[in-house]
Amino acid sequence: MMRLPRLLITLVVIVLPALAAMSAQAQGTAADEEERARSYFTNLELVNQDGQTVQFFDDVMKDKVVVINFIFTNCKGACPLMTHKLTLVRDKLEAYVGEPLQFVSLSLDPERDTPAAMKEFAKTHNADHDGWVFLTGDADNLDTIIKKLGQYTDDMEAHSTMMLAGNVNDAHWIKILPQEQPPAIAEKLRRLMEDGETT
Amino acid sequence: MHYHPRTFTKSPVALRGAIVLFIMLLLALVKVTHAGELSEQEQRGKRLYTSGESASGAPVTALMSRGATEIPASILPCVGCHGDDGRGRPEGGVVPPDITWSSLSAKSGHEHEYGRSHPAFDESTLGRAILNGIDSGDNALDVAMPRFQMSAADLQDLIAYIKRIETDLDPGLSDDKVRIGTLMPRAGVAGSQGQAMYLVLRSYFDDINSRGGIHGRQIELVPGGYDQDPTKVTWEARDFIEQQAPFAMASGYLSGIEGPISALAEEYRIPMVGPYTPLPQDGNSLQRYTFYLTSGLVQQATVLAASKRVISDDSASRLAIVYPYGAVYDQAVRTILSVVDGDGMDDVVTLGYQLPYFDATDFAETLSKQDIDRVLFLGAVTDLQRLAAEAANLGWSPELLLPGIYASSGLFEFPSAFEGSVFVAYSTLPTDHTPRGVELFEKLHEDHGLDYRHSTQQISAYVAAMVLAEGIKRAGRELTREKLVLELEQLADFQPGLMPPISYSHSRRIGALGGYMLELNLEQKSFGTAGKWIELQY
Repeated sequence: MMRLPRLLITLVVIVLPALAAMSAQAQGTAADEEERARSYFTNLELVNQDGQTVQFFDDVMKDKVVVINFIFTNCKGACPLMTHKLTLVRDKLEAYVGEPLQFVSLSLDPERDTPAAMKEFAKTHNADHDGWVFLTGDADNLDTIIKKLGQYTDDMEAHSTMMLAGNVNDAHWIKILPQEQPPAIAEKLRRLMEDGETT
Repeated sequence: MHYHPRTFTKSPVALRGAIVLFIMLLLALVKVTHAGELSEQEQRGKRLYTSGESASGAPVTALMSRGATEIPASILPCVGCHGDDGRGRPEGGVVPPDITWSSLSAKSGHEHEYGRSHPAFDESTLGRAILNGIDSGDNALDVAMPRFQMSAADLQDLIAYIKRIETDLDPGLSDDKVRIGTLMPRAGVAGSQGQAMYLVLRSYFDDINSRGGIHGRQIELVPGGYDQDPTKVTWEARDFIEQQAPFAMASGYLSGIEGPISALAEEYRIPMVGPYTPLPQDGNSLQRYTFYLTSGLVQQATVLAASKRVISDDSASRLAIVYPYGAVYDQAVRTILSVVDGDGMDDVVTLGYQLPYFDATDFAETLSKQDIDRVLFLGAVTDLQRLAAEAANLGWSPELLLPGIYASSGLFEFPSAFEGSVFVAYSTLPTDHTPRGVELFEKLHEDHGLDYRHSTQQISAYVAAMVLAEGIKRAGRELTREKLVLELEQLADFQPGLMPPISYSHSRRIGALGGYMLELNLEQKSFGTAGKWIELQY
């Protein structure tokens, strides 16, 4: 009878520190992971639809599950359609919008896409709200970021309508094809969000 | 009182004549109103066309990809692909056809890409095209064209507008107003210059308005301010144009941002008249919408470079162009060279330096060794004066040529050895001021309580307003941006009274193209020979 408690205590004494060490190591890894992500995605400054300057990683990406698409406000076909599709996805995941779900629309045409133009575009789609940022700004900064996201092309007209989604903390990224339907996209995002909970 | 029915006893012929005349007058009136204000139905149609929304709130939706996707029409309004004027802009490999009524209903019909040909449209086949995506020849339209769903009343309204679109007025234009924009910096010295320019514009247009406007339209002047952060200026200008939708722009302080702003004028097809800048973007045949008043740095330098040497008429004169490194100056030098090359001149020597440091000793040695006898200097007059001092030490006395843009106080502080050898080119001189021109300018100041600070910039704004008003007047009541451009191109020897005469043409966009070359009288600190105007052609 006395052995059990002592066993328990021994276990506790051994296991708890081990667990603590493991979680400390896990935390250490998480911090490393974040730093790696920060230096990869950069904290270059962009400008949101309200004209505010934001740092790309810390203000837009960190701790979020992001859905990224690429637009330019003078695009009259593909961009409105893609954005519209994403609003349908958003409607299915209302509870998560803003936390942790973050929609990010990046301008491929920052010279013409003023913040006011981005806001106008966002409003047309009822997409001007917390949890959806429309980003424009310095052309070089956008080039760098778009390249990092693997979506760079010199020809704006031929731009990829591919979308990206990712759980930033987990560094788990997926592509979303332009022809995928909202229910399927929403399901993919749900799984990305769940990822975070299993860590 | 007795009413005399005598008028009705006139002969039948005269009566018929009177009736015909009356009907013609009525028709004339109708024509004028037709080109002007939209009817209520047309306004509803315009709203559908530009925003995809029905005034009644009834749903308007678009089916894409052969019915696979349904979206609200507000996301893909007609204007996005077909343009404000119905003439279409290409995007993503799709070229929307011209849907103005004169095009749609052309008796000959059309043949489009991939062999799709069709006869003339009428209202019913147009409606069918919008709803079902087939043309008047029963061919399917390109998959990029959505099929729209809307109420029958909305469709009628939309068709009514499409029939009218080509006679709808340009932005910034209504029956009784024409909106003119002007861009000025908000802060700093440039800001206060801009403010002085704005007050002159406003006073000038107020005077016109108090006399009844131009062809029944009042001029509404809207100022657009910008901060001088270069990355943001183009955005601010773009937002201004989008939000204010000016019909045309007058004057404007564009020093340092000429390129992007004139590119915006081209993009939006907004006539821009008389922007204030030392660098008119001329020589670019793609540029149509910006009309400059006076010559700038490049033209002044060219006038100097191309002029014959004054001191001796040795035609084999050796010219050196000394300039600071930088894109603007590189371009200026290239332009100057293209004009003076092969002009009975030996090779022109060009020497650049890195601002702000100009090594006068080094340059004097180098240039004197190369037997340079004329130096065209694109830089601060104080640096040129240092070069002159070094040259005097070496016993080298070339002619010194300076564009008037660089002239500042202390202009005459050259070594006396250079008496008779220093020349400056100006784009305008006080001798351009006629008594009448001065009188009107002073009256404007008195009437509106203006002061005379920044008078150079004020004069520029004043003449810009004058030229724009003249163009609008000549375009007549049926005013459009295109007509304004065409009328401005017709201006020949237009006398503003405070500047050299202004002439444009279909290929010329600097009104007073050339410059006055003046010799400096160093001892008397005045200008020697009366300035002779040297006209440039290119």
